[in-house]
Amino acid sequence: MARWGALASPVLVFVAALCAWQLVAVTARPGWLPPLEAVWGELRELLADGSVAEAGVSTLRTLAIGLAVTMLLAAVLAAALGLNDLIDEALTTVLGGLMAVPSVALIPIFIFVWGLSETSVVVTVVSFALLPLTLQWATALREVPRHLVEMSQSFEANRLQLARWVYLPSVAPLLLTGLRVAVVQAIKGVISAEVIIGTIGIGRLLTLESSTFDIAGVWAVIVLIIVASLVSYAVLTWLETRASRWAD
Amino acid sequence: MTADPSVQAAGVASARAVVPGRSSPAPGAASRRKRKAAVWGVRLAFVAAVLGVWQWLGIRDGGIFIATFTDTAAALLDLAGNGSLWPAVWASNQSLLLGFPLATVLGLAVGFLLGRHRTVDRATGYWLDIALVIPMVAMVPVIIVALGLTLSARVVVVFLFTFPVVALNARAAVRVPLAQLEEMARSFEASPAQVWRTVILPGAAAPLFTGTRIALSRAISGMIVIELTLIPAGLGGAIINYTSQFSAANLYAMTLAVVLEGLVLVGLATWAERAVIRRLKGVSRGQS
Repeated sequence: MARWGALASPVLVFVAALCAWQLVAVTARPGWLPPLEAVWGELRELLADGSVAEAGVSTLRTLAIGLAVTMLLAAVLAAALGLNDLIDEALTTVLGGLMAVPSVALIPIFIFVWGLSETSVVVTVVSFALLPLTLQWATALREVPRHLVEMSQSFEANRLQLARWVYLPSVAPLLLTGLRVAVVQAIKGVISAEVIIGTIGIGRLLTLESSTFDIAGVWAVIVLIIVASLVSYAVLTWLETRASRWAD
Repeated sequence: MTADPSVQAAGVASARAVVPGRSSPAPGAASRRKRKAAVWGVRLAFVAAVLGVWQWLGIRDGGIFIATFTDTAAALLDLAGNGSLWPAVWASNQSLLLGFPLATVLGLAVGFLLGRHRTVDRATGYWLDIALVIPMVAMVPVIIVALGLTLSARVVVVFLFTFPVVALNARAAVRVPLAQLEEMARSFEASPAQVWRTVILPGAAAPLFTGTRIALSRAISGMIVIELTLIPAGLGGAIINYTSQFSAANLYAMTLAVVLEGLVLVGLATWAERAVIRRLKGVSRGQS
């Protein structure tokens, strides 16, 4: 009975929230809260006429390019931090302090330099995700057990074997933890940049709907963004648990 | 329960800051001094490299799209002197001054409630996890429709950026497994208030401070993002203005002002955090 309650209570609260939304929307009719069926209708329309597919592909492409660049840079930086004690001691605090920089304030400069283009969005993604990913990956590298490395070396394991059998299993789960944090940041970066730019991808869709005062349309785009972020987060969490099981 | 991403991100940012350098047992004062010099050498080289590359890019560009570091610094001093900077700082920070305390107080209350009551947490806690993962900036158009181009709209944005971080960190902080200590305190017939004061809060102080510090940098992001999107006020408004005037040095200077504000405020928070935690440790050592 208790277990059933534990499973049902979040669902019940969710349904209650939707009911409250609907109740407020149809009785008080605030301008900012459309009835649920209107949002649903807009959502279906956006999905049917292909505007979501078009905007989504553009946004996902910039997100993917940005993440790829971030991972490349973070791998180099994390290797420097994780494998050299002096650099680690000197720069990890500095980079940690730089996490306080509000990256979103840099977006106007990116737009100033690269225009209202996808390049600006990609650079924004990198600026949002690079520091957290670098610091997480450096932590992951420090977690490699020294005695295993030494033991394998004494058995004359070559570098490739060392990487495959010692480094990879001990860092894989933490690498994915870093990636999960970075993807959350990257999604925030991509949406921030596109909302500020207003002419690209999902951000264009959101700007379009809000400039025509179509509040149901705005909510439909918001629902899409939320679902997409939660799905990618769930996928990465799943990968992470898989990896830690594999590493054991 | 899964680990909170905020807490993990916090760990990365703070783990090093709290424990600067690995505790290598000092082999000798001379070699330690040498090590310290090397560490500062690397830090200075890093800063010099960053500023050098910036300067070089600016010179190569001719200062049209990229203002050099020296031009930016000069422009910032100019803006501070001729009275364009401080009104913008003040206009921006109104939303921070109202939104951040509000989000902190409510976030702590909600976090404590969820951390101490499993059933409530199970039923409602996932909303916070979701709020942390999604890009809040998408909510800006709705907030504008609801509240118009007002200070309240800006305060709400700061609140939305801040509240989930504070609440989730507070929840994690008071949930820290102190069960044994708590049980012992109860078996000595400590009242709930005493348990909170002597067991729960001292253990929670460090993560609470870390959470508040992260929340502060998110609050600054919220404050700026709304000014860059729909309500061109304060620093964000000035940034947009200088962009349209094509004034590179002023644009870079205003952006630098925002960056510096973030670094200074979070730096102050870190300093306060260390001071308080050192005192708490001193107190508990003094009592035992």
